[in-house]
Amino acid sequence: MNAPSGRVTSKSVTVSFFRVEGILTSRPSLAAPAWLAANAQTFRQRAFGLGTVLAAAPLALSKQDPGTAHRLAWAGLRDVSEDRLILLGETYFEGWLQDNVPEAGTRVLAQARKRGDKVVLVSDNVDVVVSHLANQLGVDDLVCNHLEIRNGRATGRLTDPVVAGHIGGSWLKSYAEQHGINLEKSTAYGHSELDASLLSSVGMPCAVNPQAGLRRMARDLDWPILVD
Amino acid sequence: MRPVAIHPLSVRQSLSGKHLLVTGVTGFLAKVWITHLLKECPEIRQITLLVRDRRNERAVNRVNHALGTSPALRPLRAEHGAELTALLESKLSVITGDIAKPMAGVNDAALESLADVDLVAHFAGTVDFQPDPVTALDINTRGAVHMADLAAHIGAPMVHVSTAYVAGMTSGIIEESIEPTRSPSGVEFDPAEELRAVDAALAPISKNRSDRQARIDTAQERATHLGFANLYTYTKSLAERLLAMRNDVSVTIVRPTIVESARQFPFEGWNEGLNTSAPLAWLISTAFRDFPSKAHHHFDIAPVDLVARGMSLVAASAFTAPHGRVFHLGTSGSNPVLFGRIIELTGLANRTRLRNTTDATAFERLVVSQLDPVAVDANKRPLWHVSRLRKGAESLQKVLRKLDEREPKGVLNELAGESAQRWTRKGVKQTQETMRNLKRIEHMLELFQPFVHDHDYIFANHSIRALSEGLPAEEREAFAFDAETINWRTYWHDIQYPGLWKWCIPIITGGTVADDRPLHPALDLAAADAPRLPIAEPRGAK
Repeated sequence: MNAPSGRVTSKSVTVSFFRVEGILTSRPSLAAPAWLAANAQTFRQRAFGLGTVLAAAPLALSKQDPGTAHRLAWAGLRDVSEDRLILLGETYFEGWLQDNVPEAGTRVLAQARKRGDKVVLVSDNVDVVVSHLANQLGVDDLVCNHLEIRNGRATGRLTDPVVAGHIGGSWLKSYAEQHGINLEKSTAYGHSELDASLLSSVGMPCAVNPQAGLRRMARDLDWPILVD
Repeated sequence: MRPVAIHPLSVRQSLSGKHLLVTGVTGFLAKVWITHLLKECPEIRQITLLVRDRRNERAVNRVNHALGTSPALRPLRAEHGAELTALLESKLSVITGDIAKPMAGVNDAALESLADVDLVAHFAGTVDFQPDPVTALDINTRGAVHMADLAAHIGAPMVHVSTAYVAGMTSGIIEESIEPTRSPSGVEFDPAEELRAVDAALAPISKNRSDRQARIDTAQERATHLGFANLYTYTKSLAERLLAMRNDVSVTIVRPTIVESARQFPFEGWNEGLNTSAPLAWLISTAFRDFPSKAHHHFDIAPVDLVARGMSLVAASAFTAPHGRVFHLGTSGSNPVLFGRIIELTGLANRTRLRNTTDATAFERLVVSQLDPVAVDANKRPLWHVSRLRKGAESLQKVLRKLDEREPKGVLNELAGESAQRWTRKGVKQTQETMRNLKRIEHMLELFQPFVHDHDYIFANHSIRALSEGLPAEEREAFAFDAETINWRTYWHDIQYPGLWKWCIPIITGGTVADDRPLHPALDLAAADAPRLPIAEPRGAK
């Protein structure tokens, strides 16, 4: 996640925040750590990595503690080299994300650009994977996770703060402050109930292909719902 | 630490108007250096190329072909177009010689044309790790001595291209210095006496091809005693030592490390011939995954254009350099990369290759691409060690042979029909082929083991970096020795490995590497030596 730096006082910028998972890709959050673990250098690393993703899956599915689920899933990549993460991150992008944006995602992205909004992607994924998508889409900023690297190898830790659903609140206020963003006039596109915090922090929330929980919430709060 | 420039050095100014005599131009490094000089130092007056005749091809024709069709010329072709032939013909000339002979086999008429040579750059050598010692001593050792004789006769300084691996069987930081009478194993010896001794030891052994191994074993015994892993480093080291002990010629010694694909010049990824890392990269690209190496040891790779820049800096400084200066042209001293990383990057690059090529089989795509290579201790001999695989193939072959030879002949036929016997015989052939390949691989790994497993070399490169620091700002882009700017991930994955597959590995796998179309108009370099020497017996000089 990007750290705030320097303050901009005028709040004139309008932004469209996009949750990547579910809107710009149909791949689940844990698909990337699972794929990277399966392609680790040694069979031992592969077994360990896949084991941690399996252990993280129930936590991720329950949506009770997505932060812990992500920390656990990415912990399996401990000792994987930065070279491998960067090169295979690109491979994963080319194989699963590139030119594979769901139609609703493409549509809302085009709408945001038409409005003249700055586009910010919010992703549970790590930078080595999702930065390629951000580049492909030509967005203005990417808020995502980062694996801690020491001596050219991943420590298995995600650097704080971890992006894992529930993004919004104080972090978003700080981000808006730093970038001079007018949240009241900004838009956010979410896919699951974990995005509720993000959606409720902006003036124009929108549920895209929402999961059941978010669909209910959107109906209750009268948020627009877009489906393919 | 950033080295401090001792003196300002302008390569262009220093080489302007100079006449260079260069050997080894049909080799990879010299070819790149010369084309780089022609591009970046247009004020050079003349470059004379000393080349030997081959049985069926005159020296001048060899150069016309080697240069005229070389991809190394591409930047010059792009810059000069149809004028390039005239430019080359005005700057280059050829002289016939044979470095294995006294005065490099140059005849008196040719010697006259060399009277105004300002600098001798000696690249020629045989780079085979385990060559016939008779040939290697003639070319690598006596060849250098003969070139020094020639330089002394002309009165020009000499730059001698050696190898960093003359350090021998040792580990640690290798300094840029030479102790002519102290061997890597700590033995005090006289290099001239050693040359006589090894000649004497080889003399009783016949020159027949069948006695090649006896010659190698005899010379290797001496080399091992002095601390050299192979005859290449032994013969190159003897040459360095003999040159350093001379006082009639100023010699600068250049020690490149492992010269590999170009970063930029003549263009990204260009490589030529069978170099050090191509067989290793090819091996890793197969199902072979346990690579005998120490992950934390340094692998000193130097892109050929970086080495060419280093050569230009050394050549420009050689006119004023004190005798016996040594330069390492490598990267481990300022931008180290470890074997573990290179092995992993090779596996990753191979995945990319298999994903992008249409030639890959389903087995390669689905299985080989998933078998990432790892560095393993050669002494532990893991399950997939090549010697175990070979023994496994041997056992399988024995079983298949027994099945095939079982009496009465009809046993197999009765059990499974004639086709079973056909399959058994096919299996015997297949295992034979596999055993041959595994034996080759085992031999190759044995040759490389001292350098990729047993010893850890860090080649100090302060001297060349200090020269580079003295460059004027406007020459830095062309000549700076900027090893520290290499990003090993992008270099290995995007440049070196694809370069090996395009330019080198086809030679291993029985494919071909296409030359560029010949220059038009055709290159027709002048031969500086009108009356030719009788053509010598072909030797291994490059």
